[in-house]
Amino acid sequence: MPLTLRKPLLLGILLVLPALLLSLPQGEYQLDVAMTVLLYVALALGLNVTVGLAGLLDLGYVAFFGLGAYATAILMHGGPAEAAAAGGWSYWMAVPAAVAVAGFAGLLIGLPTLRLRGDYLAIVTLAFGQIAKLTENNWDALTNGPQGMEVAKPVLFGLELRAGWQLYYILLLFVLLTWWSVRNLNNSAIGRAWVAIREDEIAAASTGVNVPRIKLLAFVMGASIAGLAGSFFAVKQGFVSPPSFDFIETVTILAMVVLGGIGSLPGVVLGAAMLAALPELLRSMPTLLGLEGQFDVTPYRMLLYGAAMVVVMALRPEGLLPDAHRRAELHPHEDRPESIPGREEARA
Amino acid sequence: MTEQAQQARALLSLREVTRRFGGLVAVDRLSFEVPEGGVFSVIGPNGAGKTTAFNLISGLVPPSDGQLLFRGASIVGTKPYELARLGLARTFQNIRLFGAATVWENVAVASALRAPTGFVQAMWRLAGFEASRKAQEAAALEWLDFVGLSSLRNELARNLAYGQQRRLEIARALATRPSLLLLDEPAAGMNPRETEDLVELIGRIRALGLTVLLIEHDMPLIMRLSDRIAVMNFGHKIAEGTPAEIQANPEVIKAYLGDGEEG
Repeated sequence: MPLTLRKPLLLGILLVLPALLLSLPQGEYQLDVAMTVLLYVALALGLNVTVGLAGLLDLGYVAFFGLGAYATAILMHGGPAEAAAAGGWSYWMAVPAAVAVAGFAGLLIGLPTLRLRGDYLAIVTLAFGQIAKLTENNWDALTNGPQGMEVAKPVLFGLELRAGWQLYYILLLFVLLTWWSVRNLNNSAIGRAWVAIREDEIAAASTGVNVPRIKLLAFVMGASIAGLAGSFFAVKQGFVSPPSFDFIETVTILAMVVLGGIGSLPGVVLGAAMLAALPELLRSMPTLLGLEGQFDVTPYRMLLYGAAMVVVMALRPEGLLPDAHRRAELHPHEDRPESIPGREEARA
Repeated sequence: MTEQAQQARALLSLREVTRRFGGLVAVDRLSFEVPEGGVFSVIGPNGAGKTTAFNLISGLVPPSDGQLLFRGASIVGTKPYELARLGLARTFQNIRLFGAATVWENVAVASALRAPTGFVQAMWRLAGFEASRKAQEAAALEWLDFVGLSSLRNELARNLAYGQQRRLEIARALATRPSLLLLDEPAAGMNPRETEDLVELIGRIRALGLTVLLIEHDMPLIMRLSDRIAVMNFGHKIAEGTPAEIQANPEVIKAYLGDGEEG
């Protein structure tokens, strides 16, 4: 798909879709689905930096999401219902702290493990994800163990933001910030260095790319974005507990990235939106088709979900909206990546 | 000239460099000095250890023994990207481009070394970002012009013809602004026309004041281009001298040219 078609499409996804959702009768259900979709969009954008752009298979990704959520809960003095919200940090201070905690954890995990290649990195990060979840489950004094922690709602100018639409706009802001930051990085020397490492690590190093540093940046960036998403998740749910940060979440997010088009920002946004919204759409399909009560789709929901994924992968192995570089790998004779930005000046 | 003075002028020095792979001694107590400026060539039959010597110099393989000096300072243990910063760039015998990236992007990766972009600066388009971006792109286009590939700048690197890929690899190496350029068999697989273009290109690189260290099989090319030649066989250096000296050296003729036929 040419670039000219991509940008409006992305804008459409980010602006028109939520607007549509909001113009619907503002049931808490629609808002909740919209927020779930956006949360997955943010998570997929973050994982796309690590896996899609830098080519580092991080299977412990959801642990950083959990760290962001728990950091927020703990700093806001969440806890068992009766003890919650007494003298904790404000949400607006907890957000950057949660991002920093997740990013710092990414740094600590990344420093020793990013020397490993491919499969080995995947195994180490997988183990890290399990360790994080076990810690959350068992460090009762800090996390209240399996009972989880209650988290207060954000307060803005003395006003407690409880309504779905209020939280929705906070999340939309976070997602737009994430998307803009990742897009900027991707279209810069940093993004080119990521592609170079993915293509040929030895050649990249010989060309002056500080390979360990650039890889670490991708890893920390992904972890920080997951931390941001986790921080929002904590206040949106008002509750954090270990089962939310299970390994299967990493797999789901990875599926969104791959299905949408690994390495491609519009693709990843679309992939996340599709996979997050599809189960809910399937749930309400009989109603939408006016067949309410005639058949129950719920038992087949996940089957249809899986079938949809298989169909997409079979028809578009490069994803729904593939990255130009990736498309080139799978369809070497088709059109070219976007051209050099400054070409007009250069030609003159 | 005394030996001392010659060493002081040397851009790159190898002193008794040895590299063993298990029981195989790929490079055995290899010593030579590459003076600043001009073209220095390393020749030898297949398996003589030339490419291993290149990998030692460019930091891809650590030496088992011996000293490597760049501008008089040891570069043993220096990482490849640090060597690039110091001013040492290379190309590869088996071309290693970023195949799925465009031609200009390949070179821009290299030009970012001399006009770096900070991470936060790039993420949030902070002050100085535009300047570094423009510098990177301008340098990339400049080097593409230099090797004659600027019309193909938006093509994917992997779609280029073989000879063009070689030139692109040279452009990418040049964009790191090296003082020493290592070319590993740049004429391999080229037709006579492409080889002629390569000779002309290396001449222009030399005219820029760069020092070129060349590994090559094409003897006429070596004899035309080189100021000085080292000959390797079975990991050893068996001779060193000017092209005329090398052509007349009986040891070289025996080891390399075999039947003594000039060529």
